[in-house]
Amino acid sequence: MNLPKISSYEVRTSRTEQKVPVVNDVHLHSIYNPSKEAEGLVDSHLEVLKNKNEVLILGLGFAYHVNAIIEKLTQFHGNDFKVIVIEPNTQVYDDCIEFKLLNKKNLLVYSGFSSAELYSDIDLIHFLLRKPAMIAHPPSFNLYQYYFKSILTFEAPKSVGGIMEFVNSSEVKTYLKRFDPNSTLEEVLYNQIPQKPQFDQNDFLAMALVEMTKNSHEKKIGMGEL
Amino acid sequence: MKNILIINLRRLGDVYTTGHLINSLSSEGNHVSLLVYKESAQAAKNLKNISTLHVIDRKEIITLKTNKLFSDGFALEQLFLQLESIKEQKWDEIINYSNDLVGAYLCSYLRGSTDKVTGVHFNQERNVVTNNDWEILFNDVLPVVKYAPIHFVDCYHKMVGATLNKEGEKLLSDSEYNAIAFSNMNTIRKNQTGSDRDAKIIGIQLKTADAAKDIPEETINELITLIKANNELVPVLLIAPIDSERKYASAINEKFKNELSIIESDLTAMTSVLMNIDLLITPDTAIKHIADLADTPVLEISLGHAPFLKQGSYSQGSLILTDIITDRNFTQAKDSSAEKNSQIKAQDIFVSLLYFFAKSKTIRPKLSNDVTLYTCSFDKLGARYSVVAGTIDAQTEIHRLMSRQLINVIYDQNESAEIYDDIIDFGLTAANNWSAREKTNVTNVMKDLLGTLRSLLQSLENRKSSKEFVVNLGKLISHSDTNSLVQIPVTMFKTKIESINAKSFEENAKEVELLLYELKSDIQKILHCIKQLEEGITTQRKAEFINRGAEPVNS
Repeated sequence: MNLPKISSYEVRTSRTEQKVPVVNDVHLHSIYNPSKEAEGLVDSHLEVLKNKNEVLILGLGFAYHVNAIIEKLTQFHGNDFKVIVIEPNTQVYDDCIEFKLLNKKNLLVYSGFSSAELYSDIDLIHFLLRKPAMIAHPPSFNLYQYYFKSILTFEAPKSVGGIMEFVNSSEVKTYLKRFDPNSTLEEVLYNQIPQKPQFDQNDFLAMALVEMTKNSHEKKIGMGEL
Repeated sequence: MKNILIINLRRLGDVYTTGHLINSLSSEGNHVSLLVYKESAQAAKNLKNISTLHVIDRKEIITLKTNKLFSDGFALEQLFLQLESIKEQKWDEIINYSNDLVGAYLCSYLRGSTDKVTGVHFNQERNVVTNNDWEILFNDVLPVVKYAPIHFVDCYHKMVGATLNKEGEKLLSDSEYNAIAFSNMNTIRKNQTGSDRDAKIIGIQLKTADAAKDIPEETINELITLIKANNELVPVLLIAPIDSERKYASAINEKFKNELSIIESDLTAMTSVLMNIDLLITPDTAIKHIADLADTPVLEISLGHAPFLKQGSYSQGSLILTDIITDRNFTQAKDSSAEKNSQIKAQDIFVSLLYFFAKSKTIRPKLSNDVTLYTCSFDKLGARYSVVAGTIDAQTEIHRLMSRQLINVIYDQNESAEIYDDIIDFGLTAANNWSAREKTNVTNVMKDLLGTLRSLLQSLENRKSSKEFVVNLGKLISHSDTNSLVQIPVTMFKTKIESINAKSFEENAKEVELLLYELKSDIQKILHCIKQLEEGITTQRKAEFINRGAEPVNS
């Protein structure tokens, strides 16, 4: 688990009478005016919000910035947008819901998920494949630096055994079970299957994958190149 | 009525060419579905008569496979899921139209869901499975023959056993776009002549996906000048809705005081545009294939490595302007600067378009040296390219036509008297020289064939002779590299020899023996074709002799 350790948590009130979570003595929003601070964050990302209708936000806090982003996206794209927020602290999320601070329009929050759990979620993966804009909530990002960095630099397991944890289809799982769980899928695809004296149907599917991704299997890229 | 799936994992233009086969199959009452990559789906969506369009999101699968964030297992799972609905259905036939390895593996994967697979696929031992000689012709012969004697579309029809149906609508078009295009083109015609009947609209496709195939800008400018000088013709520039093409078209238009019409359209709207122009001048592009499906006449300017003999414009009366084919290299050079400069001038394009609109076709256009104009017509084998004007190499043209005749005779039992007549039109001496050279080639092959057969029979009696058999077989197969008519049956023989799966020496020898007799029969068919040609030459000589005798003798 790469979830951050929370040693202290309290909720304070800003001068504008808005609730502010304080985690490990760090204020996640301005203690003076959280809404104004959120507007500033949105203003610095106006161009990207105009051009992209899907946004990944790192850090929920009490969602002032999330609500401001949703408002801006509605202005630019009507109802045609989607926002996903990743927040490690479930208590912050629970309070945010409890205090009814969150505008849930076209929004999905992943709270308390480890990197491996996040990258096992096919809906999140499809969202990421559509290359959303990525906006970090600075106080949350700084506070949970290790957590967010581990998400951004995550490396999925390569062994067949590890891969099976990520696969949902029972037919694909059954097929993968035939191989040594310690082998990497690369080894299976590029060495073991081609050497089989007889192919079954799923071997042909695997070889189609090899051929389709040819010339690209050697280079591995990261989040920045999505 | 059959439930057929066609797999075509190639690019836009190739997906469009599938429209001919889809039209032929659906007109026979079949349900035809299509599997394409997502990036080519726009072309597939334009095609009529598709029951279901299936899509593989290749880019997504590649990202899942290459990005370290995601498990490789997802790539395999997504491919599995994207094919799941296909695999769960029962197909009468699956056709590998893209003829590539991915297509072959997918056909093999889906083998359990279909009664029949046509095109390259594998058996459990991963040997290539072939259903008929047309498949071998397509996969093994056409790639090695320098001047393709048959168009890909026709070869696919033969592989599948479908009868080419040229009638019927092959494209979906938008009625609103059709109305707009019709109205706009009529306005352009009226503005040109003051009436709405005479002016012909000439669409000029400016760009291809491959710079080596583009018509040079200077040639386009000169061509527009020539077209504009003719009151009966109006040039319009056709571009895709992308910035680079907009800039290019604007730069050209500026040179003509912005008097030109520029039509910017996506693939769907392009169908409506093409239906309302009189002729399309284009290099080898997806737009050319749309025009073929829309029955819009095409003047194709075949440049770079564009393989027009295999994939040229496919509609009756269309014209193809090319550098003399002996100067062409139809395979893509790794270094585009290695592409030869074309001899095709704007004047060549202009006189070709005048020829297209001329009522009488007896006056042939005069072209630059080493440029040839072909026209597309249809015979029993399908599209056939015949020389209209320009420079030709008679031996190459005769060889090309005789290759076609051989395919007619061996694989289609449809000998064409017209081909012999056309060959004689290249001149009796040229035809005679070709025939003499070819007879020598046939004699050599026949000698090696009989030597191979003899040593095979000897090796059955005495295994020590098997070494001699192997040497003779190698010698026989080496004729597959010669630029001769024998290349076709010998390559076919070579492929069949390579795919023999016999277990014992005796079984092997029996199969080789059968194939040798089959080759012998094919070589005899070459001799038959040569004999028919020679009879034609003799008949023509007699006719010329009689004609000369009837003329007054000059003392």
